[in-house]
Amino acid sequence: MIGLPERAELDQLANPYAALAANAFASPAGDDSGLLARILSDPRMQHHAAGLLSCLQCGICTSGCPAARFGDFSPREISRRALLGDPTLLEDDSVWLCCYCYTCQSRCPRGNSVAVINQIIRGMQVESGYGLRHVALFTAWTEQFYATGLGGWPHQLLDAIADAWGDRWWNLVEHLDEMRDELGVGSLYPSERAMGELRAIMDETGCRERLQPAEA
Amino acid sequence: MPTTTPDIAPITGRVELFRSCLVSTQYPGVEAATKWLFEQLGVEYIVNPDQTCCTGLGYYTDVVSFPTTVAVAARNACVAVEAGHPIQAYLCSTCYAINKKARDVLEEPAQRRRTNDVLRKVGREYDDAVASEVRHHHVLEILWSRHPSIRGLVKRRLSGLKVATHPACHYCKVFPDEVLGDGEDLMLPEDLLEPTGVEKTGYYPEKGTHCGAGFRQRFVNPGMSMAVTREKLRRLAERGVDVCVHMCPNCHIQFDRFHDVISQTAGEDYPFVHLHVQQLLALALGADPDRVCGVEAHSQDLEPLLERIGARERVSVAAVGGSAVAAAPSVPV
Repeated sequence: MIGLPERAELDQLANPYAALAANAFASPAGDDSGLLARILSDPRMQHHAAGLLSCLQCGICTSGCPAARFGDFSPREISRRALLGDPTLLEDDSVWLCCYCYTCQSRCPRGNSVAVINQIIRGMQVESGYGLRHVALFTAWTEQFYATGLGGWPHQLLDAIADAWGDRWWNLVEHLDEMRDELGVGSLYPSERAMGELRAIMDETGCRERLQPAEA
Repeated sequence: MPTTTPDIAPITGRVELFRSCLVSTQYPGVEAATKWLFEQLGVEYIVNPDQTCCTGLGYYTDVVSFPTTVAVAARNACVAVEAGHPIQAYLCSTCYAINKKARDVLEEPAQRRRTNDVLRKVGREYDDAVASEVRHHHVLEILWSRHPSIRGLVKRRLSGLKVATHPACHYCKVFPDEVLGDGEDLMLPEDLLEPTGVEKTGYYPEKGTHCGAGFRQRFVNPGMSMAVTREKLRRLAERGVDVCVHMCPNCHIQFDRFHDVISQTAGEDYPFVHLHVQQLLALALGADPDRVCGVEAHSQDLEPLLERIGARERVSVAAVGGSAVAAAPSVPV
């Protein structure tokens, strides 16, 4: 069965609905993935675990969600399926529509955060390999960050961005160093000491390996 | 319209102006204007070359994992404390939210232990001393804590200039209990500008709607992204604003870079411009639009606005050797 937080932990969360909700959702049909427990135990859920467990499906998250308004996405459904530990979330493409605006989190009367749940699920999808297709456009960011200490735009899109943003933006790209000099804002890059430490942290936390497809 | 942002005691500690990757590469004038304002208001600050980017764009495009992001945040807190400037002041609302999230997570012993296992490799530790010293503030909070001094420093009155706020989601919605004011109707930017004589807009439909960027969405789902941005542009146009002010460089990119693109595509006129709060405030306090506010980096044409507020004449005065600020009369609009 799925591993829920210890009752004592739930009590500490001081949410009168948490225990009730834990009972209500403790035995969802068809969950053998432990997915709910994995979501609840993610450190980012620290202030939202009780909120997820007490989600009453009111839909306020969805009413304010830009991806629900302009795209085919329902944070309310994500919350429901997370509570059920629905393993199909691990191959669900709709979580990639979330804009990370946190409107759902800030308005949830229970303190749930679908934005955080989406990010946890996306991370699981990346780590299983399924989600790599969704981040392919952005993996160069990590390499550039490792090399220079600064990220960058998806290089595959640079021409399209330049087309859309026009000459003034190209002018900025080409003359950024001079503009920065005139403004007296110093070097664009962190110190060598900072870069050494940053690379060590990225190596130690497996930042780049995480984005490599697993060997067949 | 009365000021509603709660008063806070002056933040008098030593500040590390936390550099932002997007400010640095897209709108460096936002950093320069902030420094200029800090100097006008007597905020003691440094820029710390040992500080690195918060990972925000990587984290929110899901290519950087949370453990990496927390370790980077913990390290940045360590270097701020080491430099004796433990108040991290954020130009970018995503830096603000990420570092605050790390702060909370690092209060959990297991998470702090795990992070310190990483930091040990670089000879650092996020310990109780660091945790108790480091502080996290949006730059606007630092400025607001000194707002009574602003009135006496105004050189260019912005009377008649109608200003609206685009509240940054990662300031207003990630830690809503820590917002200065109402996160659903943030007035901090407009209240900061009040001594300059601007006309405040206050609440408007779509005020709380995000900018549309959505990190990956701007690139992967541009239709959805632009639709969100357009809604806000239309509402701002309806209210007849002259300037929409920003407090996050990613929002600023979305609006400044796409404003004319959307206007042309939609066949709609949005007769206003976008500036960072610090840029508009600095202009009102007499700053040079080029050498302090870096307006050249913007995609929109800001010249009509600069002329209207009397910020363009000063360049020619400065060019012939006069003092840009002192020589210029206050120009009522």
